[in-house]
Amino acid sequence: MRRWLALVLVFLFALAAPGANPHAGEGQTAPEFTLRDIDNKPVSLKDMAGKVTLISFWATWCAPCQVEMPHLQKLYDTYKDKGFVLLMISADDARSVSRVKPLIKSKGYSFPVLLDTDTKVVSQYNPNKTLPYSELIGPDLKVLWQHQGYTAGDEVETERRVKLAVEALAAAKTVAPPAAPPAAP
Amino acid sequence: MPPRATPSATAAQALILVLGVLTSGVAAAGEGDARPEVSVSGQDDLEFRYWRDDRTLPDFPEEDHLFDYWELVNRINMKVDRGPLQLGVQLDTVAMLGAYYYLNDVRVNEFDLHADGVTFPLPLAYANFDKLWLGYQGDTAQLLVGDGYIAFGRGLALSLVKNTNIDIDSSLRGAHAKVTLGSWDLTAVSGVTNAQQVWQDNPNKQQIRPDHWHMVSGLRVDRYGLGPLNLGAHSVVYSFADRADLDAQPWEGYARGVDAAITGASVEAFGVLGLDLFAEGDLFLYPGGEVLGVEDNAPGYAVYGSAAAYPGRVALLVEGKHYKDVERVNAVVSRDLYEVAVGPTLEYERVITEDSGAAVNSNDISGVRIRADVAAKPGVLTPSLTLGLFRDRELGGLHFNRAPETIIHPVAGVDWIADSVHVLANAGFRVDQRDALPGGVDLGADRMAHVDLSLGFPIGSAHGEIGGDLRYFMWGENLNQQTDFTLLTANAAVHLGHGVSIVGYTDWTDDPLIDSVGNINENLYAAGELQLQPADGMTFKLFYGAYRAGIRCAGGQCRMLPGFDGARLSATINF
Repeated sequence: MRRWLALVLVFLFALAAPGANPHAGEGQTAPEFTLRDIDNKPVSLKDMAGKVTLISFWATWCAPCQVEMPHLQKLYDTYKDKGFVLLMISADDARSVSRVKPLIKSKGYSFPVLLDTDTKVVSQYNPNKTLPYSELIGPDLKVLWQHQGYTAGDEVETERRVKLAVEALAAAKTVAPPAAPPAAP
Repeated sequence: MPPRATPSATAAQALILVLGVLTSGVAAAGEGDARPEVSVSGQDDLEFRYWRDDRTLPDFPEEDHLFDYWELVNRINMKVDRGPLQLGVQLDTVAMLGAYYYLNDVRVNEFDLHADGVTFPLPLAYANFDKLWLGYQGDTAQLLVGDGYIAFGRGLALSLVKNTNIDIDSSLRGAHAKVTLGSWDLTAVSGVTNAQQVWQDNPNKQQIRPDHWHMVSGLRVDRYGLGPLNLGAHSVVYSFADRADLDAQPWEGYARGVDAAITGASVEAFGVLGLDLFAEGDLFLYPGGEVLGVEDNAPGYAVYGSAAAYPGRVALLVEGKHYKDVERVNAVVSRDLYEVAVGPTLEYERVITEDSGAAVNSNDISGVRIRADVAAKPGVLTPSLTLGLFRDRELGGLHFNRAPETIIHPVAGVDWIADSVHVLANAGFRVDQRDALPGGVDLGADRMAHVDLSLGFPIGSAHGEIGGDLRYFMWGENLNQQTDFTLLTANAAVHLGHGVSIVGYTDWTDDPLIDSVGNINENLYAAGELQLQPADGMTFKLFYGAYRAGIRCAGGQCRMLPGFDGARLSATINF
């Protein structure tokens, strides 16, 4: 028994050394995707360049996702006019996708909701599909922050991260030099 | 002679573990690369499971716990992005530690990890690059070579997607192409099914199985934005491998005849007279019917439709289905615990039992589901009513009944989500009413009352959650008359903040069909778990105790999952 215990400890040590990165995902380019929203409009991540984007994966069958949603709606309402975009990507597959829009309508949510019915995008961002799962993406389309799951109080940290990113975006716009006028023909 | 381990075997098995860890370390190191256009990221899912088994053998001391063993399962997903190109790999690893003993100086493995057709140098370990893909994401074209996921329409003709709720990760290994030309999408796929060989959540003691390369080719055309309409049409062909031929190569599927051909079309309308509408119809032809157990190659068909309306504060969803001989297409692959084509079931899948699971996969069923949600206080209080009505005409196979059934299943629910308090609750009553046999023999009805609840509330600066479900099942008449049973699953959690949670679990059931025994007494299971999130993208869970076996359904598929008794350490790390 001691042998196995030692093995577990060795493993934990090894895991904590090279693999454990307290800033997981930061600085990596977010995988590009194009998905349709619940009103049939195509939405591409690349169109979010220059904005702060929070991608949140959820599903109709995910109870913690339902509990998190009102907080995300408040976040969206607070920052949507400050260069912030919230993309709620439903991981419901083809079989349950019909329930997505009625659920959103029944709660009165107004944030954009995208459909990933063949699970391609969620498989890229979060292969084990644990929901909810969020990634905050900067104006350069690089990942600023990742968060898995939801327990009460998590929304505080989410808002702090969004606020920081939005403020950084505003500061960058303030100090950026004015665009050069177009050359005369 | 008492059992003992040999250092060489232990070292070799531990090597697999270290390799897995090093791989994740290398990937993490890539983050600091000076070339920002290249992005390396990934996810590592690891589980150490200690399986307790009270069996023993004569002359072995009971305290040696002869058949106890550790199971290490590791799954690394890693991808490299560079502009529009992406390279991805998934490495699955399993090692059984201590799953052997010595009898008269001869090592005896407690089980064969590898089924016929699977080879690996170590008897109690296995490693496999289960998924591998190269993708290109352009403005008008997406290409993927290797393993990908795909669904057409509502999944009736083709649905090879991840279903991690019940530990299913089957991909299509081949080529995927999607070309967008204005408002047209053309999607073409061809390849072979690639089921995961290493179970991530379930005991691999049930054996690593060989891949059976079933050929799948499909084509779908979508026309978006034709006024308020989207139109789509697709065809899919399947050629199933001979499971007995363990030497078969993936490409042989293209030389075999077609066993199943499905063609269908869908139409979707947005906001027409205030309605969102969807309809799909598919025709299933079985030229290789004998492989799938179809008499006379009889064709099948499926029709699914949905309509949603949003009058005032009400969201109304009506779904209907009529499936005849469509599950046949899954007949061969379901032996490897996955399915290739699954339409919407319209079931409340959370309360499916061993009995009602047959209706989920019925070959002759019609049904409708009506659900109304009312935004009593928008975003805060949402009561709902759901009514499911089904007519299941299939007998035999998984069905316990010997006469067709009419199923009535009303469910009432409420969601109340305030700032720090939430209540999500549902209660229902399901009746599977059997037709009387000729001569007026009454077979009665299976009936089930059920309640499920999720409750969250503050406890000082911490936060508490209570959840679970309760079912009481009453059998009608059937050939193997069962005993009425109760099934309770409950959990209570305290989230202490700073990523620390403590969770307690309990199951109680006297269901005679459950193939497991509780750790407190025969019917009662208890477990505790410590959850830690020391940093974003990093989760550790330490579980000790037991939970029951039983059927679990998600995403239109059901699996009989084994129970668990022991300890489990799991880690998920994003890098």
